[in-house]
Amino acid sequence: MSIEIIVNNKAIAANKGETILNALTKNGIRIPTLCHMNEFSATGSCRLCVVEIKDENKLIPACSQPITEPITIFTHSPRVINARRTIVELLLSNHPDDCLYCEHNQHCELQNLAVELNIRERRFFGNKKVQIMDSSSPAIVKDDAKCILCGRCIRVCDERVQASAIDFSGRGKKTRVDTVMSKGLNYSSCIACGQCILVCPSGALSAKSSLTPVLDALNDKNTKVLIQIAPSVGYSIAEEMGFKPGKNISSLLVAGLRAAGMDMVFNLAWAGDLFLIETAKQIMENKQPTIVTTCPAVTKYIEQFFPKALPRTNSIKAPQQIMGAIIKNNFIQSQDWDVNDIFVVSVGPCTAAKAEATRIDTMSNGIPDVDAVLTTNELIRFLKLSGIDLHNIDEEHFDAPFHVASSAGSLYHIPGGITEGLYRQLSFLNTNKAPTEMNLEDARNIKPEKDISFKAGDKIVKVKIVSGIQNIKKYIQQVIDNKFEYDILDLTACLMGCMSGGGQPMTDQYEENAKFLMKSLYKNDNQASSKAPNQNPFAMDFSKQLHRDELNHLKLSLHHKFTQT
Amino acid sequence: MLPMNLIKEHLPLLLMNPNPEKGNPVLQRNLSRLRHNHVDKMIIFIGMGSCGIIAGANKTKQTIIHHLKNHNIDAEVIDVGCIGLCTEEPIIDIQIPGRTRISFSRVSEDSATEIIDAISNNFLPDANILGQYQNDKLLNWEDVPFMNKLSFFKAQNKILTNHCGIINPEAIDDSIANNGYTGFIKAITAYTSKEVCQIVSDAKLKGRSGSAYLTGKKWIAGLEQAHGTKYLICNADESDPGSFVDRHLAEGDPHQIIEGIAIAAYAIQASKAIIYIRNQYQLAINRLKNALKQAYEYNLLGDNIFNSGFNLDITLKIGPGAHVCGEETALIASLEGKRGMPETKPPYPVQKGLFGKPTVVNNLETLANVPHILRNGAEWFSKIGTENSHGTKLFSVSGKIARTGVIEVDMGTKIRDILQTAGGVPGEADLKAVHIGGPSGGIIDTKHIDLHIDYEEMEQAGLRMGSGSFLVLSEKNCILNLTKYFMRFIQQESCGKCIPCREGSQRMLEILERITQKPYHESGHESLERFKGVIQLESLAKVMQETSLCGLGQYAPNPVLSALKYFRDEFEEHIFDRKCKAGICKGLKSYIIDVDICTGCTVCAQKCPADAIIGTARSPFFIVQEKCIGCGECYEHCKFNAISIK
Repeated sequence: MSIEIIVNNKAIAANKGETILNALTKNGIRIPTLCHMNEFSATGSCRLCVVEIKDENKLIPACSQPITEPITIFTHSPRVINARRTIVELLLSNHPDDCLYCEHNQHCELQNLAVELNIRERRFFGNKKVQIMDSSSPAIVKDDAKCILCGRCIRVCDERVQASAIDFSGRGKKTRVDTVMSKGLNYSSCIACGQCILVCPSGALSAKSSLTPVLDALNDKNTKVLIQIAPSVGYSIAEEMGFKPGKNISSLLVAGLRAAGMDMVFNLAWAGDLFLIETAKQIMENKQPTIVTTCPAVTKYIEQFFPKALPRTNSIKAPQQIMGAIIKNNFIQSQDWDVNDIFVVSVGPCTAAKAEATRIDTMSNGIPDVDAVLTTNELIRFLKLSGIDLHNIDEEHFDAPFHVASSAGSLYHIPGGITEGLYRQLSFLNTNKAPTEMNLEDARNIKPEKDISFKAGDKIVKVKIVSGIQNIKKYIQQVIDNKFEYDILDLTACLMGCMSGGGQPMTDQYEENAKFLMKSLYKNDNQASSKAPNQNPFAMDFSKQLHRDELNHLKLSLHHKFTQT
Repeated sequence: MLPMNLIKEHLPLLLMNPNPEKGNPVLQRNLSRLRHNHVDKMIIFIGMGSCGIIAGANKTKQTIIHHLKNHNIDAEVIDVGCIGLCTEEPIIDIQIPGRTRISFSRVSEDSATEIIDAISNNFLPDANILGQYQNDKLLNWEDVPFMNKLSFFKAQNKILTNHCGIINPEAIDDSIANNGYTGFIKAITAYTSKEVCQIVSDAKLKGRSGSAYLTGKKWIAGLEQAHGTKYLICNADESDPGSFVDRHLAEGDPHQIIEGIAIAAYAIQASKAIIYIRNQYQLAINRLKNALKQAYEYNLLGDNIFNSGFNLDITLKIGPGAHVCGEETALIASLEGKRGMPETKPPYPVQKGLFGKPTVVNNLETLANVPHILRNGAEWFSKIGTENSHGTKLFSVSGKIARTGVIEVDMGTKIRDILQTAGGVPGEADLKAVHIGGPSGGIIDTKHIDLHIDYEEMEQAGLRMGSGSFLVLSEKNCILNLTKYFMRFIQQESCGKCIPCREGSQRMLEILERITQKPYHESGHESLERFKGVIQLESLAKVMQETSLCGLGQYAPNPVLSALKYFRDEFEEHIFDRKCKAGICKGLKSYIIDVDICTGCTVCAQKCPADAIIGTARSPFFIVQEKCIGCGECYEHCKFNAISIK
């Protein structure tokens, strides 16, 4: 039912029962919000969306007030502006004011609000909170001093990610976002997915920076720095580096990184291929893992919340770790390098990958597969820091031997990408030739749950593709209870896949960006000449060597230790 | 002793007709005994409310029991609650056959035995007599005032507190013999739920927790919700400083509360009710638990109560004691096992409350009114009080007053009358102000003490009745110190959810703290900031009131605003003259050593806790004003009067 409401002396139509904020947004009237998140129920904690309703004593929060009758609203009356300004001034009076040093500088909602509300004078003085920074986690840094307690991270962690690693603790000025028993994120149930970073309006949550060790390694003349680039990175950085959003600038990036001093630049999609080849082989040999994922956040989630499902999870590591292990255990021998003289850097959109690289059980003999993991965001900063102008550089190719990859190996950043790769590889293994139809069109959408079945030779394989941890739970439980009706469960922690990972460049529109980047990746896949992992000769060859037991010392390091039964 | 199960066996008879004229003589005699019209042997009632226990009632009780045993005196000792006169505790009452019940105040271990010896020999002791309870059927004690004629009780209209301190709160028989549960049985046997709602609606009972919402309206909204699980919650999370009304009621007459809850649950057709009480109220928790157990035994709770088809389960939940958990949505969150934080309204709890089900939350005192309304009718209730505010209101009186305790007065009573009832300000100091309603209430000066206790009238004066805390201040109290105290309470108890309350209360507290301290530098930046801060107080208060999420934040600036309204000169005195007339704000005092008198004995420097006094022995000392905290230790310890206060 439509109701006519008067907003700033102008009539607009609103649906009965919808919130004032909704009606205003629909009609293009913008009011500031801080704690509001689409798709989440309103908590009404920031009070910035207050509006003046005629004949009401108090100011009413637009985010939670449903429209039930025709009302007259003033969204920017002097009274409302004064209230909003006071609220932001109060926040600023308890804020560390170190914007110039802040990770979120120029990407900060609080900063934008101060500009929008024209705050040019400090009215409130007083003690600021003195709180310790939580840097215990290898992936996420929580700085309570910058926290404005909007509660977005808590809601995302609790309702969307369902890891419930953080919640409010304390009262009054001692209120803070805290982990259980104040032990720190590393000791909590955090799965390092980094979704909290994406929703944080101030700089309280950020990915833990690994730039310093990378720069130190570059400075050390005796150290070879090898960098592996995840397939989506070339697309994700385009906009921030001044190109058309979604353009693939991988070749320019390779040249840029070499110019910045990297000794070798590798394509992580090669390891994506190897992952698919090995997993497909396991499926063929009926050593079939039910849960197939490259996502370190999902692995951590299963490990923490559903340990019984671990034996049913793919034992082969994620591409980042595979390539690191191969470089350190195999590649350096061919180059005659010492393992202590090389430094492997990985770049990707993921914060959980940072945590994964530091896991003791991924290391062989105490040597980590990957020494430092940079997020896409950090890579942009690194390029800017190194003075690299990608517009004035010639394209270059990845370094051999990890330079060639099929386009299937590039798809694992998309929910359903693994399934598509497996389909191509399984078809090849069964029929010894590539399938006529390469694409699984049903898998190519942004639905969080997708049912796919494909024919690999005579066999029909049924796959459930699920993205977003909140949707995953019931299927893992089904796997544990042996009630799972599909052959394969393909999981990704972030709702839009890795494109909405916690390390992506800061923007206001993660979801739109993620969808857009996804499209670019598919476009690339459609145009690619080699589409199946078996068309990657070196990866195939490598796999054969593995199975002829020529690389026994390497074999173990390609598998998760905790999935070994 | 009472024959076993006598009351239980005759329960239907008693509850339908509390005064059976004819019938079982044994029942008659025992009813008469339970109503204290007739006793077989000496009965000693000991005031065992929290106040009595703190005053030493336990020791008095032990002495009495020991004494009775040693001297073979046949007497029964009964624990009762508090009669509201907390300053006079421990209070014991004694009733011997044929004589009226007589009350003694401040009974120590020593005086207890003397009193018992005297009374058991039928004569009066010399001291400690408080008064006697009027009973026409019994012989009065000579020259002993009647309790209801005492100045403390004269102006009171004891309806809710009528049984507090009189009957045994741990025995359901005592409650039933004194009309307990008759209102509930009347409700479920004579009326439909809708009619009960209507009666309470007609009585215009308003919520006693602070918001003064019409209880009947709330219940009707609750009843109109779709059938299915509904909850009734009794909010006993009383946590305003200086407020102990709910505790008093729960300790003195727990069955009255349970009856009120049962009626309310019937009115909204809820089959589950919860009492949410803070864990600090241990005695009240124990008495309520015991009362619930007894009510279940008597089938006054449980399934198919009195064959009416109405089922009710009441459970007791113990809250952690956070102030914000008294706010209904935070209380519900706390009950659900979540962190006690308020939620936005709408949806209101009556639409979507505990576990998503319709929930009515009523304050304990509100519910205690309900049985009386059912027993006596809406008309009776609406005749008490003023045009807009009906019934009585309980106040917990404390501060600079002769008699502290719980006072129940009709709505419309003047604040001056409450002060008189409580005996006025003792000593030489004069009355300065009265603060009503705790941290969300307000303060008034002496010019306004003829104000009536009435929701509208108080609202206009910037006051709120709140939970009934009534704090009396004399000239020796500093208004700024009080507002600072309440602001600190709000700041510490703020749940931290919404920005205006969390950050605003912190800044307001800091501004108040700055006023009550010396500026570190006399001139320049700091003085200016200090002055600017005061200008901010009012504008900040307004934003807090308008934008805070829950009542706690919305009403938090009330103490400051009302203090600014009535005691602006005192603020100005603190700011401009840097003086605190009451001598409370120590931070404003400057101590100066007269170099001509100082002998350099070093005592002051040794006593100074802030190391603010420097000098060498045998030559004059010096106070570093920046370090001085104004505690006055040096002033007190100087043997040569060399230190003066400026």
